[in-house]
Amino acid sequence: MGNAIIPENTTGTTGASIRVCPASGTLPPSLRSILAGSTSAVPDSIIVAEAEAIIGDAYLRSHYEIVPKRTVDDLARIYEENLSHLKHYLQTKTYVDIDPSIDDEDDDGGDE
Amino acid sequence: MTYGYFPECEVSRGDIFRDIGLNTSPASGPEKIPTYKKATVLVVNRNCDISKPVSTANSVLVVRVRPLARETERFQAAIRENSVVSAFYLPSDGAFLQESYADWHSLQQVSKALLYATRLPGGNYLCTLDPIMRKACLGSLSVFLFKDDDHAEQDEQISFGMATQQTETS
Repeated sequence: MGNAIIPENTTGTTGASIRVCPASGTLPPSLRSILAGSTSAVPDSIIVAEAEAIIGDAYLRSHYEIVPKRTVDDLARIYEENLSHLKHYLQTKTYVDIDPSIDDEDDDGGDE
Repeated sequence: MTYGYFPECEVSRGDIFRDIGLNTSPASGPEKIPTYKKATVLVVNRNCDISKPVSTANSVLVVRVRPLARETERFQAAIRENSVVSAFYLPSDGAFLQESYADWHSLQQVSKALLYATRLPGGNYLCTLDPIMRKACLGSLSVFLFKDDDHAEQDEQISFGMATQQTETS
């Protein structure tokens, strides 16, 4: 029997992981009874690659927020829409520049 | 065209500089102290803010531009699709910039005077995003800043279905 992939639940909020058990590994009795005598037409290398892909996705999603693919045009349109909303909002507002005479040296992290 | 080279212009939004001193980690090592390194940066400030006198505004907002080649293959693929909320993909054009991404987590201020001093022929100025790329870049930044968290929670439930199931049964 080749490499076996065993779904393994984990505790906590980080989610699930996949443990890849080598051919020489010892399977739990319940899985041994399921897999005994079974055959697979899928090469081990593909199974391992798929497992690694799942692990890679889980790792990415645990560190980054992933959204559907977006083109440069999609993002440019998001910008244009935001700008349009902002212009509409700003039409009703009056702004003045910050008074440059205000000394902000105290905000520069200097030691007092 | 993705990038342009305008060494005669002033510092402006979409400019990319190399070797600019940047806070690359707010807390490093056991002492949790900030780390500063020279890095490639992308200017995101509004131009009218940049053009104000230093006495009024002495800093410019930039983000770190990181080379894509140093990341894992799966992360690279997600970045190329602009699927990572905290990043904006910067393709290589073979001349100015290697394949990179803007890391929105690194948004910070740098010295305006420094950028002006290095935006000279032979200085640290590399190139500038073209207008469409600049709009897309700002669209990506707005998504990073304002995107609702609800979608993230939904993604997490789908991605970690086994963990959810376990929680329900425990």
